[in-house]
Amino acid sequence: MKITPVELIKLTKKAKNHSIKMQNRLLLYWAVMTFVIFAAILVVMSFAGVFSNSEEKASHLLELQQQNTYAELSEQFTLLTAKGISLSERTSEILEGFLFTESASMLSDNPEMLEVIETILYGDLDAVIHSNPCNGAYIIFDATINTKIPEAEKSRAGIYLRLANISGKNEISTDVTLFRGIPAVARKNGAELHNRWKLEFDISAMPGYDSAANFAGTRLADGCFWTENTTLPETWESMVLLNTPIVAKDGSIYGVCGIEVSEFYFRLSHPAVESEFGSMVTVLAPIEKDELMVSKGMVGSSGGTYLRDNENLIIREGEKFNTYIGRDSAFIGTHQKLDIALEDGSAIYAVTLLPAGNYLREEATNRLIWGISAIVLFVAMIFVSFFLAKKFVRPIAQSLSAIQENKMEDAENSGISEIDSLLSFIEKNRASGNENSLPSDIEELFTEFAKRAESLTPTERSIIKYYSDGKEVSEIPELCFISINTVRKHNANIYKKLGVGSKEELMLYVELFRRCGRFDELL
Amino acid sequence: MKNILKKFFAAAVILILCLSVAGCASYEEEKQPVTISIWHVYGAQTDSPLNDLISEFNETVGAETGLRVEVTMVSNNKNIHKDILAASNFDPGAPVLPDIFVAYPSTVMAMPDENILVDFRDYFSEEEIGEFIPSFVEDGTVNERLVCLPVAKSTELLFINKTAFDRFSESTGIKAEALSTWEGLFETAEIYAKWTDEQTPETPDDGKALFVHDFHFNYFQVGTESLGENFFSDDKIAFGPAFGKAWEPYAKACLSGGVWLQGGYATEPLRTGESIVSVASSASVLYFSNEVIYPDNRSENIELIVRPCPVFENGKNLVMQRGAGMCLVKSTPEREQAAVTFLKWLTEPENNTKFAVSTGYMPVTSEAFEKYLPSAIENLTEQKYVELYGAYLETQEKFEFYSAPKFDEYLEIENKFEESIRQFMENGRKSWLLTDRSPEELEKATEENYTLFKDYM
Repeated sequence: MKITPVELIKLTKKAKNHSIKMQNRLLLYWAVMTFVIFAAILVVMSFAGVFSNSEEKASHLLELQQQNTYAELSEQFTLLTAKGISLSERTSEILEGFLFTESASMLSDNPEMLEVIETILYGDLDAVIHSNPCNGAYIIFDATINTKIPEAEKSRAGIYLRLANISGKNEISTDVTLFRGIPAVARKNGAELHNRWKLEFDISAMPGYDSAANFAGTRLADGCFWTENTTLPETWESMVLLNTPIVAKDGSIYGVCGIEVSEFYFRLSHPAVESEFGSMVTVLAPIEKDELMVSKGMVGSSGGTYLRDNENLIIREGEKFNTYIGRDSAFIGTHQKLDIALEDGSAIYAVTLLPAGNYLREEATNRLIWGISAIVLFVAMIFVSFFLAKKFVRPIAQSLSAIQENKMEDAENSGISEIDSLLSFIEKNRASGNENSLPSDIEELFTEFAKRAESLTPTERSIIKYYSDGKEVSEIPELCFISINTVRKHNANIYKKLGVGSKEELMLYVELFRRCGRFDELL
Repeated sequence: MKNILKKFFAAAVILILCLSVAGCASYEEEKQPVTISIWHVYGAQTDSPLNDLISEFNETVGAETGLRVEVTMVSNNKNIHKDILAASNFDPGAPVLPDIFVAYPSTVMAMPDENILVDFRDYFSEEEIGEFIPSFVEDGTVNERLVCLPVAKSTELLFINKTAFDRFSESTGIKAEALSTWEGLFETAEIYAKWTDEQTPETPDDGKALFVHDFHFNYFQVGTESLGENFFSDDKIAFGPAFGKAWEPYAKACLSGGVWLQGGYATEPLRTGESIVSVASSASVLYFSNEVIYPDNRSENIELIVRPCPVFENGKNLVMQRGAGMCLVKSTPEREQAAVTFLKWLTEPENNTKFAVSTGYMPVTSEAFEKYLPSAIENLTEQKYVELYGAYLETQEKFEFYSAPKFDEYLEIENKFEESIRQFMENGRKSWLLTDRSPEELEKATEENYTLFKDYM
């Protein structure tokens, strides 16, 4: 139900046409004024942007968090790329020490030499995974321990270390497992074999290996590429890999080295950030045709959200932030392209997501709070209007009532000068109307009698008062502490001074003065 | 007039309400979940059946009740123990304690304050507790508080690389049945070390270990108890005659090179072909591979057979009960309730059986044992799981289960024993290799090392 200004005017006119109580009419005027002022305040607040506060706040939060997300991811992956290049150069140096001008294939069928090289490189890989934001690192040689086995074509020797018990990005005492490599190397260094250990790499299942192994450029930075999210064979883990060619001085390829960031490690090292709108989640993923390909990227800790790492999200661009829509959940957020090289040349984005439900609920809650506050304020204003109207009308109503009941002399001062003046005027007029009503001879008789009464002594006045109260002559001596003879003497003086002949005549005058309200003139 | 005023007020209030509550209803159901974290051991670095079950829970009950379980570590008991102690002692660089973690009571007793854990009796009714196997509940009770909720139990079993053992058997005539007693197993280990050494006459002393044991401490503890003697006396190792009886075949096999003395879990040397027989937790079936990879990169698909744990010839059939429980860290009632909702779901007979059978464990409630386990075992298709549960059922039928005692020094003694005994045996073997390797020298080295080890402990 809505009320329009036209209807409001009609209501007012209707009220006018009816004979209504002054208080109600005044209350209606107050209420209309209150509502108009209230509506004006709401309009002003609306224009001032008070009601769009949630949107502004969410936008601001996302912007700040996105800056952090972008900086963190950019730093992490740039640093790891630099480490990958550095590891490649270091491996190249060591291999040159063993191979001189020979190619890496010289290591084939030479497990002893491979064990020595792996033992040397173990320390480098261990340092990489313990002091950088990653959980695994590997070096693959273009050689195999046994060229006679059927799988030799796709089997390559090397060493792959992974952190064993990750539970946060800052751990320093994490154990290491050997995922690929010679077991004796692990045992020399106190490391265990990974539950899915194998002696060599299967390069046909190694994402990005071919691109790096066939690198023909001169700058290593041009040959470093990150892969899409891939499942680690026979495990529950998935990861992205950085592959870097290991280039000999003559430009030939010794092999490939790389760094691993598993989705599990990524999740733990990018915890959700709590905000007033819920958990803000970090995502690193490519975008294809307005779709955020979460399944090809990685997701930080999902915190208090329903974000799934295998569900892609449709992007709806917005003015202040975007909306990312999944199968049964939606997020607001923002994304930014990262300067990270993927193998297929596609772009990858740093994304900050916030559950849309939280934001919308927050906005609705705010609106509800505003609404309830407005209702409370509105009702309070109406009560104040009612109170003021009542307080204003009451003295006027009382005064009018006093006039109607002809009790103006009993009426209290109204506190309103105009009303008090009116009452005084009416009373004065009425008083002057009473005096004029007495006949002039009677008035003269009254005046003369009153004048004569002025000569009475106090005792004589007391005796007249006793008579007017209905006392008898015989009671006077006792009341005035005088003898009956003295009473008679005073009676005689009273009759003489007032010019009356008997007590009955005296009492007639007394009664007349009383009825005319002028009894005081005798005493 | 009163009607006019009433209409006016009603219109104003409704207008304000309409403006303020618009948009509330459609998002009311999108409440964000309570997320609880868990550290567990079920799967470690392989496929993790518990992770799959957690995903199932999150998609079903979790989605309905607004809670999510997030796995923040999958490791082994040793690593979780280390991290729990570091976290609860607030060591520099230590991780933050999760809501739920998997641990043995010994870990709980080593924590600075075990009262930071929830007593599950506060959340499970007597009736619900009564559905668990009583001895499992007893295992998880520390100082009269149920702090390790049993979710799956395991025991120690004998795993044999049948493919490799058959080759050995063919050459020596020794049958796998010889491995059913400790005496037979260690004697076979001595023979195996010698036999493998003889296979490469050009390389001296390259004999291989037949046998690898996950916990040498368990061998001595259960072995001593099975021979009718207390392993502990006044919270110390008693080193009585039965211990000596267990020591002799063990030490001889170790000194002869028949026992794997390097670190790591038992599955490791089996995967590399460096050992072919192990005693390990039934749960280690997850980590066994059907493929052995040799140092020259040849690989071989093997057949794995599983048997009950060996016993002493004159001892009773006693075997270690294993399987840690789930501990819950106190937090807010909302988080604790969320965690309990998950744990109740996981211990529901059907889910519990599914979880246990996929990880090489046994379920923990009577109903799961009686109603769901038989059909779950019948439906197994993978050979190593069929073997495993065959051995498991035989163990249940013929063996008595032994639970380690609970006292404060237990873990310290266990760690010291486990770390030092391999080192003593390794050093003893190096010394023995310098002798003429006669049976008398072996006897002498066995006794000397016993005295040294006993004194050290």
